[in-house]
Amino acid sequence: MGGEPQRNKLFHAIVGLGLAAAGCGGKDQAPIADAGPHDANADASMPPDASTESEPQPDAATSIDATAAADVAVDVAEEIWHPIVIQ
Amino acid sequence: MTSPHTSPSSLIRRRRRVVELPESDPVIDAMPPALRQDVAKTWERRAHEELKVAAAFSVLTRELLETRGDPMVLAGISRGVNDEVRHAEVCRSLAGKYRGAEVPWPAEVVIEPSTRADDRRLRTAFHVVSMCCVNEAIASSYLDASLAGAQSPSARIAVGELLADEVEHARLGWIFLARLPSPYRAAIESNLLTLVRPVWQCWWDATHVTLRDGAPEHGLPSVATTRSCAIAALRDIVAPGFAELGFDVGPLLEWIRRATADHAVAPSSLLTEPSRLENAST
Repeated sequence: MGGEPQRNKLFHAIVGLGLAAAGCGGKDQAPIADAGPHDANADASMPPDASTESEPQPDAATSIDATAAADVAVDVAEEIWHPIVIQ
Repeated sequence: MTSPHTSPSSLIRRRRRVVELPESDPVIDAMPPALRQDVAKTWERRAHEELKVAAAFSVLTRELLETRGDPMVLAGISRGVNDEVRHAEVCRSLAGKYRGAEVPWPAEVVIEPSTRADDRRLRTAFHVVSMCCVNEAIASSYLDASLAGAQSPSARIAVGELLADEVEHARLGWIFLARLPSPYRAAIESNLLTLVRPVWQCWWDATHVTLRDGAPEHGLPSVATTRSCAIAALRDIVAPGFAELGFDVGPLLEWIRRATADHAVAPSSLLTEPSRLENAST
């Protein structure tokens, strides 16, 4: 098992199937039920039929103040409870 | 009429039960007693870490509820709380196999979400990016390497269970991002490094790791492998994912390149080749 195919497999299982579930490309990819790289136990909670057209979330802001956004990002980055590592 | 955001089957989960570990495990039985206790201690700590992730997902669940988040993502993240509690039990049970005795349920977990009155939807989006798109992608890469090296049947079952869920949690981040309005995407793009760096730093920090060389045959990669996994996940999953959605990932790729050079991180091909892992464990 080489590194490259395995990396592609994780990318596909995470990003490829995620975007497909959101209806954003990747529709030619494997059904979501065939997801995880070692997923004998994984369920098919995000179904193939979820590959429908994407639509924006409601009440979308038309613009976000860049300074305010940077301030929120720094605060999120400094939150001591997050992120959490499982190693 | 069913909305694409509320596909009924996306809102349910098949009945899950806590995975059962085998009665006997010759790999564990053959371990030196001291290493066996060290591995037990690590899996016991991991059980507590899983509860911390459950707490983090509970905060994110609340945020998604408060901001009318995408139902498919809300359903997945709220299930994630339960997944992580189940992971804690899997880790606790595995720790008991190594300890040779019952291990207590982990200590309490207390987190203090920010009370700042800012743009809650933006904060939620930032949390999804760092928790799902970044942290869970690194976790998936780490668990993939863990599984590749694991020889103990018990460890393989436990790690496989965790990996399947973490891949799903990571995927939720990309579903969320794909459906996010463009102003929020722009805000994420502008602050991508701010969000990515602390996650990477947490995986890089080995302060609490007692087995720096790991115990790969027991599902515990070395610190060096863990760090390589963090870099590989950013380079091969996270950055290409953002690029796929049209984000400018130039600064992120440049930062990854410098981080890799500064820390002399091994190529990620070292992570998943069994022969390399076997060498690393000797």
